Amino acid sequence: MKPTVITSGVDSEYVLGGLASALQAAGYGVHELDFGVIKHDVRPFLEQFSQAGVAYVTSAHTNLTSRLATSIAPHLIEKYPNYLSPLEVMAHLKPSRTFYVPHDLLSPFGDSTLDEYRFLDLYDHILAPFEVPDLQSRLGKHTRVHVAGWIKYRADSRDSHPDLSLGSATTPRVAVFLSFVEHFQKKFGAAGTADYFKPILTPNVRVKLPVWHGIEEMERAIRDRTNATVVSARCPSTSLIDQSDIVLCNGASSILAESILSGVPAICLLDSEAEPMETKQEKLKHFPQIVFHDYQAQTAVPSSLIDASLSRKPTRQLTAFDFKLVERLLRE
Amino acid sequence: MPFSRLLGLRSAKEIFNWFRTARDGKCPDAPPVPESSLVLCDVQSVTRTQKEFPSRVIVACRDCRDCCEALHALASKQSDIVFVSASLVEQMIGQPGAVQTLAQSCSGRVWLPGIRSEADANRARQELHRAGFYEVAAFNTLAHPARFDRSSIPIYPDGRFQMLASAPGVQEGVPDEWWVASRLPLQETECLPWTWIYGMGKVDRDGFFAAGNANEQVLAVRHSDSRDELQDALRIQATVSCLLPPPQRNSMACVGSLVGCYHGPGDSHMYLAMVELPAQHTAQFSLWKNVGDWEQLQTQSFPLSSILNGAGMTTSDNSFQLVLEITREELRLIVGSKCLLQIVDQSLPRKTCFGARILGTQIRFGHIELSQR
Repeated sequence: MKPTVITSGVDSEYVLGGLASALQAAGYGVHELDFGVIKHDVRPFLEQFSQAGVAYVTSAHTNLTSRLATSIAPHLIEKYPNYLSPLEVMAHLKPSRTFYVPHDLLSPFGDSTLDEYRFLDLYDHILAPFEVPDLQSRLGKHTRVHVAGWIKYRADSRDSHPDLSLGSATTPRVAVFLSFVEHFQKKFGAAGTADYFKPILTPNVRVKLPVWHGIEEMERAIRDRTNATVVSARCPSTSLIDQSDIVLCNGASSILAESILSGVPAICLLDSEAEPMETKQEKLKHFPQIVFHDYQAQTAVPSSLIDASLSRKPTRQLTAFDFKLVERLLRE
Repeated sequence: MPFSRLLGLRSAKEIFNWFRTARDGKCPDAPPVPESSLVLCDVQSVTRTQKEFPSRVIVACRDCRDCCEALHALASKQSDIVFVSASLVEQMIGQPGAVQTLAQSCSGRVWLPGIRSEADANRARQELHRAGFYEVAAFNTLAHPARFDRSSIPIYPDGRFQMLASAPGVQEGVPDEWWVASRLPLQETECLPWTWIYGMGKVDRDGFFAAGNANEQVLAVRHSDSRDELQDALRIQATVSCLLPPPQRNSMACVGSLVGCYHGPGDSHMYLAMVELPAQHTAQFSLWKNVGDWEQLQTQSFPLSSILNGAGMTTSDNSFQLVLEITREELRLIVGSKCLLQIVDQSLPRKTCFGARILGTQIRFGHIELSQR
């Protein structure tokens, strides 16, 4: 008998929609818990499965519990009052099998401020996006590390999002991904954020924001105040990266890592918003292919810098996620 | 090996407490662990352990290395592991690699004899958190019913932690019989009311709260039991007890504040009603707010004798009633029934999270309460 599968994550950190669809198509009963959408306490729901031997798959930060968030990130609790971290879900659900799928390529196994490594051994299976030589030895013999590919890459439906057909046909095709949207919303508001990025949001540019609480207001402001084409936050980032010649992103985001590993040159807009410039550079140090543009004065990226980046096209390393692997592991 | 050492006791006070507990016939009971638990004990304790934990798999270990070998040999993770011997625990805690082995062998809870020395207990909690135990809580079998208290979770990657507890500080004379180090959050600790934001204060037998030592600052807060919306006014009150005379060189060692509308994180976003004893016969009162930075809103000094007399206290009591009253529009600092300071301020949302912030041991707060009117 196929076990019931529960998945969890929050907004842009919930990357398991494709896996849930694939498992449903294969006949599994799947319950998706995207805490960006859920508006109620799910603990009673989880407890009804606690004796049922369910499987649990998550892409969330393992130990960012509501209690920890109250201390280090109270805004998270205000925005997502019903959020439960994987540790909390596991305590209520008591799953018989557990899987962790990274949502981030810059720090796939957790943020250093949370030191999630020390909790990853609580999962039975880690579905790594690429080979990580020392991970298996660090996690011990009770956890199995698999190279499963990048969860955002789906071999069957890449490039199919309708929004992308609206994009410009000019070359080079430039995609701008905005990150730290919460910081910008708080500091500048939606209109102020659009104005802040206006110098790079030109007619030949497609811009995408992350899926996050209240992001539609910022999308509207960018449409109203700039000449760029807004691609829906729901559009997979992999699809937009695949259909771009160069990617720009403010901040040390997973998008930059994803772009480089996908074989698309990337430029990081360097400013002091949300975190110091040095921190951003430090976080990106493992990706020397990334080019930096000083955005403190909010100036457009010079065409010479774009040309230089285009001339250094990185090698594609990412592979599509192996959905069948999860099915095989569920059958074991 | 001395008898006290075998019991895991170090100081004369600990030995005294152990004998007193034994004399009163209140020896800690074995914790309620499932039959599937793995029990680790030292070779001298096997017979006693078999009596206390019948039907469990018991592994007798000579030392930490034996423990690690037993844990490495497990075919799968254990949901519950019990350590009976304090000496084995002490050895394991001393070796971070051993604590990590313990964590990676367990999917649920490890039960440990309570560590009584505060310094050792703090170090042990930090090591357990750093190795991957999400929550460490005391389990007191001498309480009726047995209950969980003093629950810590790691706030920083190095294992430094924050505590939830039934009181704002360490309660004098209430030792931890057992500890539970859990890989997952414990549901049994969810309702503990006090959060020790930083520092580890002490609550003496009279129920008065102060910092643990002269140079330490503590901040502890709790949510009101009543609903979170403000009615007409929040009234946070405590009995302030001053140890006189204050030290002459370091007036900062005599500062205590009631905290109102605490939002955090850390030492930020709150109101304070502060009392200082800058000199032997002077009391200085002030209202403060923090909305990112500290700002003194109002301050005034009074002869200490007038405060104590005016509050209906004799100078030998050295105590008075301090109230921080927060209405929708303003803040008031009241001593006894007299309003000393009053100012309009609406910068912080009226939230019913309240507490105390104290520097040093010269000022103690008792019976810290919030009421609404």
